[in-house]
Amino acid sequence: MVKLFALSIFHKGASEARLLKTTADLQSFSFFQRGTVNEFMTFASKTIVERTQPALRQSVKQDAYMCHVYVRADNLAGVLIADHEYPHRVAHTLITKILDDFTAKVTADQWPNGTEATISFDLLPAFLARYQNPVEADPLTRMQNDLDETKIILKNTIEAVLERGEKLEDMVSKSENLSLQSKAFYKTAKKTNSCCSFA
Amino acid sequence: MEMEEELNEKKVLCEKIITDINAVFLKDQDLASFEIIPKETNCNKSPVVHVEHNLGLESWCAQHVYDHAHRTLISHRRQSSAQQLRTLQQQQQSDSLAKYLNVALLINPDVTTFWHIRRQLVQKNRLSINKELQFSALVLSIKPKSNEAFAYRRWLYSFQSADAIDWPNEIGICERAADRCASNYHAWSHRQWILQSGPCLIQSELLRTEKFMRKHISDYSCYHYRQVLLGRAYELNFALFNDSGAGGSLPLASLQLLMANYGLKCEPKAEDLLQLLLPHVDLSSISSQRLRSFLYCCNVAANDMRLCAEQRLMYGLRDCFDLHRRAALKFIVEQCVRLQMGLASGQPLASEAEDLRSHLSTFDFDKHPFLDAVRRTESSLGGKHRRWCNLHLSFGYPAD
Repeated sequence: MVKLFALSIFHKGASEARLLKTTADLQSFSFFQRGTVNEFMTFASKTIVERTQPALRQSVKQDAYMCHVYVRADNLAGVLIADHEYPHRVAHTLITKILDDFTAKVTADQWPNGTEATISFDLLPAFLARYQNPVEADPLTRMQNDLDETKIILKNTIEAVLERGEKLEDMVSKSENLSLQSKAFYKTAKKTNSCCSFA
Repeated sequence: MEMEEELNEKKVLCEKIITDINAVFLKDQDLASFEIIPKETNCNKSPVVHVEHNLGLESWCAQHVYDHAHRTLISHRRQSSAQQLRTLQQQQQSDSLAKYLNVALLINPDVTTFWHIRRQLVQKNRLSINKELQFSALVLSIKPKSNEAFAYRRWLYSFQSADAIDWPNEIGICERAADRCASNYHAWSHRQWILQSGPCLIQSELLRTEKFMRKHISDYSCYHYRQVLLGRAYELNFALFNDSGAGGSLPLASLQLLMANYGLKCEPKAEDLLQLLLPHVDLSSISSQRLRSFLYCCNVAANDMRLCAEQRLMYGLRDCFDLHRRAALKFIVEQCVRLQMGLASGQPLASEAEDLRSHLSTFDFDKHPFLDAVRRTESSLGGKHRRWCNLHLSFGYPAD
């Protein structure tokens, strides 16, 4: 499937990444899963931003999803979660474009202490809807021919992004941003190795 | 003694949950989805969750509830038919049977016996067809690949006249099921059944399938359906004119582009294209409707060949792109040869397929500029493709 699920913008601070704006399209998930999926997407995005060096691009595969991250040299970071068939090059072009637009609208002094409520930037949902079809991004890709695809670091799982000694399971159970329900969901889904079928 | 008590307690709990689910069914006429919510422990709250026409059941109790419903249904089935008749005569009893059936099939949609009991109840007028259509759609929301549910729907529709059926809704159900589960051939087979039984939906189906293919790029099940759809369009002599311009013209731009790709120049006009596709054919011997449909369908196939090439540029190599491009090419070549041989009927009969093969193997490509150009150009696409062309189109390339 060629699909975009979520788009978010972070500021990477010294100790942790701060979520500035996010949007998601979760219609393809079943109704009661959506809340949990949303929490996990934000959790994964934040985790990866925190473990990506400035001026670096990464694409991290997790199950059928692909998490594309770009942390700029000025610590502004963009994350795009897509299906693994969405072209990587287009995904990274989009992140660059979104961060440029964001910088033009929101001055840098608001980043370190901003929250979703204080930052006024509401273009993300329109972006997410429009670029579901990667052909729409074609003019953009041609404009930004300087994006060097070989510089995108590919990782096969989120675990591969973590630092030595870190374990995803511990991080999930320690996280304050995941609800109890989501943690239970994660445990059960992990046990049955599937999130949408019983038996 | 203690164990018995515990068993009894469990039974009461299961009965309570099944009654709760049934209450939701009775209350909400527009229930849209069912799912099992992963939750390992009982929090002393009802495990039946009902929000905005969505029904959820917490996972900790699903197995117990299923066991209980299963046991109740099987023991009902084991009763002698005389007993069954007696119990069924009481309307109330059949209602309660339905509530066990609902729960059991939602949790495990693969039990044919339970679907069969439903059929029996429908035949006895104990279950309404409309409610049953709704229920099977609900099953498809949790298991989009349930062939039982699709088969049940076809069976239910056999009692209704074709005019009374909401065909677009049926297409929507297939599309949602195919969207949620890759390679969902059960959904596409059901859609083929709609194509055969319903009104002419070819125009909207051509639009919908192209959109679907653009999103599900490696799901061959929808490409295959589109091939069936194109064959059906040709069989029905289908053609659609462009809206723009006076009187409307056939859309032929893709076909013209295809010609250009094979090094043949022409205008996007029907006469010019027919001259290239069907030289040495007495066009007056073929009905104009047949010719129009021929051009229209070939244009769709040419459009698909271009789409596959574009997708390949965008996403890289995928089996689907190559396979579908071949299917479209085969369609164009075969229809050209068939008309060339004077086989103008829409339906390719089995005996005719043999004829076509022998005609193809002795076909004189040198006298047909278009097919000759195809043969020359396609040979550059590699040894595997050449072997395929030899096998299916008798292009007679020398063996590698």
